Amino acid sequence: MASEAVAAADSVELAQLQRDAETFKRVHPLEYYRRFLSQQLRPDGRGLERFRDTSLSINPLATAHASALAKIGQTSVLCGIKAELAVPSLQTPGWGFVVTNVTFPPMCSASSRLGPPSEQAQALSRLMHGLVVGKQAASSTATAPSVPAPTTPLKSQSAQAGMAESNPADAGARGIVDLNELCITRGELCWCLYVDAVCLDDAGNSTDAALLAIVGALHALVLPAVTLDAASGKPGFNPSGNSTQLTLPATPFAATFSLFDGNAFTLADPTAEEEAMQSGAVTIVADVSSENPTLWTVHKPGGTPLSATALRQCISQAVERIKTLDALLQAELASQSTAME
Amino acid sequence: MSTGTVSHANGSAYLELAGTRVMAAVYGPRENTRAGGLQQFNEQAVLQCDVARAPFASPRDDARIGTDANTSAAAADRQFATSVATALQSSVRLEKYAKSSIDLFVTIIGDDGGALAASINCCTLALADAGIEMNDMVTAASVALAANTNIVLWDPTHLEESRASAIATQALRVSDNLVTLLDQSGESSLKLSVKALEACSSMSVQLHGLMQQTLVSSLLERRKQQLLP
Amino acid sequence: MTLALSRFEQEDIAAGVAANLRSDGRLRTDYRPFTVESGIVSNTSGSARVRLGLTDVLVGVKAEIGEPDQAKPTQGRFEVTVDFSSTSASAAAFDDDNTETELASAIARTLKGVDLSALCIVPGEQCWVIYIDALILVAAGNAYDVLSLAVRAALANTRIPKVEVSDDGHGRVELEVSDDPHHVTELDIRAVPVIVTLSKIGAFHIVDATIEEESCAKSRVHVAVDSKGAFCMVTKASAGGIEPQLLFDALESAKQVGQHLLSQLEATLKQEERALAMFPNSQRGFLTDLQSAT
Repeated sequence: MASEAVAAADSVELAQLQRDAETFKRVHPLEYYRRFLSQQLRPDGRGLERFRDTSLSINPLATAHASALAKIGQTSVLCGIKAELAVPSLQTPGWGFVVTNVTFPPMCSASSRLGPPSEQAQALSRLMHGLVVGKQAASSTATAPSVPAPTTPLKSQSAQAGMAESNPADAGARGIVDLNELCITRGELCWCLYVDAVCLDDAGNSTDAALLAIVGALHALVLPAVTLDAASGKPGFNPSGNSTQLTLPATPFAATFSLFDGNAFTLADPTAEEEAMQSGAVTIVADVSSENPTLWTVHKPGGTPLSATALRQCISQAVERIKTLDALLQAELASQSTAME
Repeated sequence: MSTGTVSHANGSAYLELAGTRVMAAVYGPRENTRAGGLQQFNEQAVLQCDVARAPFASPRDDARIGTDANTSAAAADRQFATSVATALQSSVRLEKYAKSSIDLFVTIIGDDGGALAASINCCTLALADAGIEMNDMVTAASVALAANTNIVLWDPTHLEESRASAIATQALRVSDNLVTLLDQSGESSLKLSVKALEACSSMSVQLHGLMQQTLVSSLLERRKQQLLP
Repeated sequence: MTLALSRFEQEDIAAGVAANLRSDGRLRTDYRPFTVESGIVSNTSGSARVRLGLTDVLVGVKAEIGEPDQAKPTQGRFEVTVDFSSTSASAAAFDDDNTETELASAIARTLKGVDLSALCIVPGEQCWVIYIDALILVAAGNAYDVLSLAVRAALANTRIPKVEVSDDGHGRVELEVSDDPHHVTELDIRAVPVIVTLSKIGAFHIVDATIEEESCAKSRVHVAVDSKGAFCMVTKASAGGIEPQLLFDALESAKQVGQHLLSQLEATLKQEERALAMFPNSQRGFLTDLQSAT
């Protein structure tokens, strides 16, 4: 009897405490976080350096040429790729086109509303586009079609035109996709890839999820064989022909860290709540798939400055994280191919 | 079918019917922030719906929508959104939520036929998940009609839709047997239309049961999670 | 498009509908007489004005050469816009701008089944685009029906110049549009349907509702019926529910009323044509009433 009474009293007290914690969080959100962080813990139970559970599923959609769904915790980003035939632009007769877009429909979070894409979406689109095509279109990134309005192949020509064809052998100039591979007949026919990432649920760190989804979908992409009709010169699909899979010279992934309370704390993989309160963020993109891991981008859009040591620490954490992402992709692709057989 | 798929929304749901995949989120009841929303006083809540179509949603043989067709596609989406809102309007107890707006956001991830019906069903689930008071769950179903053979195809795919002479979508409030939305485009005779609507109704009744089960099981699931620390 | 009616007015109307005797003496399925004047806007390819009760709709049709829809390269196409005149809402305030787009898309949908292969000039490249611009001068109930009647009358009145296609020898095509007013083609409008709107009041449905009746209708169904009695579009736009059995009855009466309306429109147009042939200089158009008065 007595023990039951004690248990009941305990549960009442617990409920009271919970309610108090809830109130405290609402009134002093920053202080609430500080108390957690000073114990090297976060309100969702993670340590400061821990990333949330991450999963990737390849080709969940039948309507796109390739697709991938990336989930980091609750955050989910779905990427779909549609491939179309287009005529290469005069400046770059040996290249195809890639149009990359990240959209945040109003559904995905309470703050995004109807209307033109937010700055966040535009900035992320531009970042992703830069990663996908790399320096190949370096001078075009300024005009890269970050507007989500569907651009026709003709339009995207103008978006990516205006650059000299750089030396494709220059490894540093490459993005995830080698534009040379998208060319079918030089100066006449090429592929135009529309890479669209849609954020289905934004619970923080959509950058990492978006890049994971995009890389996953690009790996799943199989382009059908194209034959030119000799008489009319019109292209047609050849279902029996060899379909091609892109070689993809690189597979970079991203790891984002949030700077909290000035730069007192560095939190890996911030949630939406943490993002709303953070004083700055840094995204590190690196490729560990080859023998020599390469650092691609350190993206730090403003906010409080970050010391060189802290940055170095972030980078080493990021490389560890990116190794796990790389393993995740390989495992997913392997299970996909065994399922196919 | 599942609910609670968007973490920040008051209610959300995901519906998958083979290739057709729809996700809906409900935000609200919340302050009406749309243009003109704050100026006027509303005794009833305003039910607003917005539809976004993922660029890769339509089947792969479709050409990407050019800028020319873009405006008409936007108009079609608006029409689609109005249809979803009308179907649900009569069943949501708007008078309970004065001065506020209930915003429904639908994202069509994949469209392999019957996207309108799927969106309505998904929104119903999301509204229920958000705990918004409703008179009943509205369930919708669509059929394709073939005029020359007098055949009614249940729940058509995109291919069947494009070959049919007409497509009908009907939303039904099952418990009091009221049609809240009806939409048929394409040619058909009276007899065939009636047959189509009867088919839609019986599908709606089946769906109603399924959706109830989904809600109950998701509720049980959630309670289990809450009880466990 | 609703009026604020008192409960007594609403009950009165509902009782009338239940007794199959509406406040203006009509049965539930009676249509009011309507007037049609066609060809009254001189710089269009075709035009018509239809008046039903106080509702007054003017439709102008303009044919221009443009590019065909890529999905249907061998057909011409329609473009429909609907505008409310700023004075049209004399008796009622409009809900929102949606009404215009809804009307336009409803009309566009009824025209989907029309075969426009006669309007193709060069397959995949050039065709006639038929711009249908409707102006609602006075909206006093039953706008959908009146609009669809006016569109059909205007299309019947439309004349499209013949075009000659010639090859200039370099693989390019040249178009020559005939400027002879008699060297024209008419549109085949047999497949153009009319919309019949059914309003549910109490446990019954009525056709051709007045604005008062519309204001107390629980729900409305728009049905497009063509001359064969087939449905080209059925849509229920308003929020309220409707019982399936009542819906079936409504479809049945829509079919009858629609076919009747079409034949009536046909007869009216023929009559107008005959009158015009007999008295070519008779006064028509907007100032008719004024002129006959002075």
